[in-house]
Amino acid sequence: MNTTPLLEMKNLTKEFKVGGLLFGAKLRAVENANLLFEQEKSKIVTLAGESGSGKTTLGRIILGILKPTTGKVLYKGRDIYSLKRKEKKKFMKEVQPIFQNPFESFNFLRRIDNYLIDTALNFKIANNREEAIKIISEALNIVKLRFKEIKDKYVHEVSGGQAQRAAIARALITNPSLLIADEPVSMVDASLRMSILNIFLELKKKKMSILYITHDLATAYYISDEIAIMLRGNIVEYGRTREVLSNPLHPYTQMLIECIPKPDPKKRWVKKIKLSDLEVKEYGMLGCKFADRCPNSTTKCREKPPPEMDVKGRTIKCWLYE
Amino acid sequence: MEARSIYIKRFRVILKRNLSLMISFITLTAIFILGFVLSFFSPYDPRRWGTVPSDLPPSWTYLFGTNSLGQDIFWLLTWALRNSLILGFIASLAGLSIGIILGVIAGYKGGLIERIILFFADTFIMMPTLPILILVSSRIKGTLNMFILGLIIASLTWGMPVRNIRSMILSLREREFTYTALFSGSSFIKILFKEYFPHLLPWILASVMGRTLFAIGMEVTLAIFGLSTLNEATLGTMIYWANKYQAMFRGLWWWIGFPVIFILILLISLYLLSSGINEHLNPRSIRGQR
Amino acid sequence: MRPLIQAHDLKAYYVVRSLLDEEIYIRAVDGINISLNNSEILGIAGESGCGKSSLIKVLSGLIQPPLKVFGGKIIYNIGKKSFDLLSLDEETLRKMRWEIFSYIPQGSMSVLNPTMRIRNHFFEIIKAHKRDMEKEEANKLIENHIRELGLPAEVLTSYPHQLSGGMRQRVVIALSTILKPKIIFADEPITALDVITQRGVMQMLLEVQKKLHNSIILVTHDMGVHAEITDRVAILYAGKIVEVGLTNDIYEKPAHPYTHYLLKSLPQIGDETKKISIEGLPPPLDNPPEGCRFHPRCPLATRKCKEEEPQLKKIDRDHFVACHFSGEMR
Repeated sequence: MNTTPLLEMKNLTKEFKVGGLLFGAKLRAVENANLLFEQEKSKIVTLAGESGSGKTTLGRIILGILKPTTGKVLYKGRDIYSLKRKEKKKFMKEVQPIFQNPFESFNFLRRIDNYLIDTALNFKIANNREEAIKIISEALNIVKLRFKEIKDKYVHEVSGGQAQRAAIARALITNPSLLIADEPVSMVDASLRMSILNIFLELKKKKMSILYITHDLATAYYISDEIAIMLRGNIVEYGRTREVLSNPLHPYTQMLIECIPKPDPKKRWVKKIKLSDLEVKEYGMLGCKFADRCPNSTTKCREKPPPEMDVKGRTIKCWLYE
Repeated sequence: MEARSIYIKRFRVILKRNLSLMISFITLTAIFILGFVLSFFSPYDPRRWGTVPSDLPPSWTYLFGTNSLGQDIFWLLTWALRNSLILGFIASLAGLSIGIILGVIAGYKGGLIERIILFFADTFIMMPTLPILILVSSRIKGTLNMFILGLIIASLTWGMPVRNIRSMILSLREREFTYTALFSGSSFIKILFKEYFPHLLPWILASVMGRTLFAIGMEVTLAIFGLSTLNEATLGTMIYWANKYQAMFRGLWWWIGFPVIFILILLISLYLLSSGINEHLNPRSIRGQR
Repeated sequence: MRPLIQAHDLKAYYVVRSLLDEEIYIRAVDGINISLNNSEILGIAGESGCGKSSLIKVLSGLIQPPLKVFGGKIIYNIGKKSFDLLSLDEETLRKMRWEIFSYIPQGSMSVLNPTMRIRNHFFEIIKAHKRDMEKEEANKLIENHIRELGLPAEVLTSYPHQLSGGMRQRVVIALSTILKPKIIFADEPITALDVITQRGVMQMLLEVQKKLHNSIILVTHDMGVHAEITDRVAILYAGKIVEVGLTNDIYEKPAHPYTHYLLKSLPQIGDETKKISIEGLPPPLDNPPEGCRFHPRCPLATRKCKEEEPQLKKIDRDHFVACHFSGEMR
């Protein structure tokens, strides 16, 4: 068995310059993120966070679309920015993306099936168009879509659910080992959402790992093995999903779970919560980014950012657990 | 090209609905026929002086009349239209080709290359076209012909397309379908032609029209001041000679009238077609029908 | 007590032209009977494309082409007066907006003017309806209102882009309640907001309702939100109401197969059961199925369902369902 991890993210940090030339400040969208996917040991990891948490930025860095300021993404031990063209193609064959908005994932001036055929031909999965169509049909079968539903169709001629399923099928054609899925079901009808998530569970059984980026903790609970909670660029809690969500340790995780509206009128919210006023303010804070809103915060929390700590088998960034 | 069938379908619907587009399309087609079909059937070289009796008003024999130099204005006009259109296309397409190639490179590659390209492009954008043209043509008046003039105009106006194409490429590069195409294994060239080109096409078409309009206008301006090749048949030189022989004062309205009318028709049609194309082939209006 | 709003057989369609120039009717609101009582929060639930946004637009008088009303009445009973909203002219409607009822749209930025400070937004609304109010008085009204709703005072001097998405949405709620309207229409006010901010905004809506004793119609696809704050909820499918009743009843004893599946397909933390989704897709609104619109996807469908459209029938004190097999899902 191969012990080199399939994909490893080491100390990833991404800074953006905000504001003008003279007075611009640095915004750390991602700070020291670490993640690991093994070869042949498939798992579904959720990268959970609110909007502005940096999860989409991290997803893009992992895909190689966005270059990190510091830190490395290692594909089978090699920095993806050091890969030559052929090796980069091998990387893309094994790591495929699924994006949130199916109407943006496809160029509305191109037919959808062409993307799938391109994928099959470009990665030499098929040698000609007929073979490609056969292989595509197999991939479409997994997502319960028939070829004729997308044949010669433009993305605005099909429904959102069909388009997203086509996008997923396209990602499956190269038989990847890792799928990076950024909010894959948030723009899909409730009717279809669970069937797509059930497909993800099936894919995991077939040895495919998935990085599931979302803000929806309920669906995360449903499908993922491990979960990373992101707050303003930091992974503040990381561990097995069942444990983290049933027994959250970080105050932010606790607040997140508390705020999920439960579809049970008998268990309504009782407490009142306080909201933060300005997002950007939190990014610029020196210590723990949650200090302003945390019921347990101390001066230490405001001044020094907490390091990663191992608590009960999880990784947490919180001074409470020192 | 994959988007062709959408374009053709919409084209027919648009023509039916938009009157100005339809009219400009018809008039431009008429001018094309005059310039590139009929002009080859002229019974004589209309530039030669004294081929027909002079100063005759429009009649069935001489459709647009004749001028004091003994030239048949109708046939002269067909040659003039041909030359103006050739000039327009050379100036427009040559400049556009350079502009597009450099704009694509600047937009996609970024970094130092982008800055170098933009530096040169901006320099040329700032150059005032007409004064330079006047300067150049006053020196090489004798050897100036449509091709050379076209190339000169192209070399002065390639800057703006660079900026426009670059900004379009910059925004296309961040669209999610670019990433989908990347992970479908497509190379940069494939992405450029399969993904981006259909988006750029409306702008390119409109730009061709607009730049042609500009070039023709430049030539007319130069010629009126006597700075073009005065023995060639062009719209501008026809006006030059008409003025030189004081056609208006002598009541020979057809000599100056017809070139002017045709210039107006040509310029207005080009403008209407270009803005009409821009408006209707805007991808958003295709999508808006959903 | 008469209901605040009562809509009878309301029909509103979008009239659009296809790519090839044919006229199509998209039947977003197709024969809706619904009422809003005093001092209640009514939820309108359904997936995207079921017509819920269109319904709330029509109920609040925001009918603009290509949306057109094709039939029905919307009776408003405000105080002692009764009138059909659809019979009013634009001028009367304009006077009623913000004062009698207000509308909170899906995106906060479509209400806020990026070039005006928040305080001026309030001034504009007050000026348009209470022309003779002095600036001093208006300022006091605004400041009190902001404070009561728990918003920080700095918000008034800020421009919209300086505020976070959640704060902007709360500002929009404050704007829409400054003149103490009797009815608030909220169209997906919390989508695209963080879970924590969502909670804050919903909290605010609840407080507003408690303080002003008014009624809110809340449109959202999020079944959790309906469970948390609504008193009654109506389930929409393909332009029709398939079930409506007290929130407790709907969640405990859903009577329509669609409601049943909608609730069963929701994942929850701590829930280990496998979730299933309904086969198929919601039908296109320009060409809905004959008979019951849900029959192509319903496990209980029979020939009757294909031929005859079920009407809303009362099955309990305040519980109505449109299904030939009402009661059999329990």
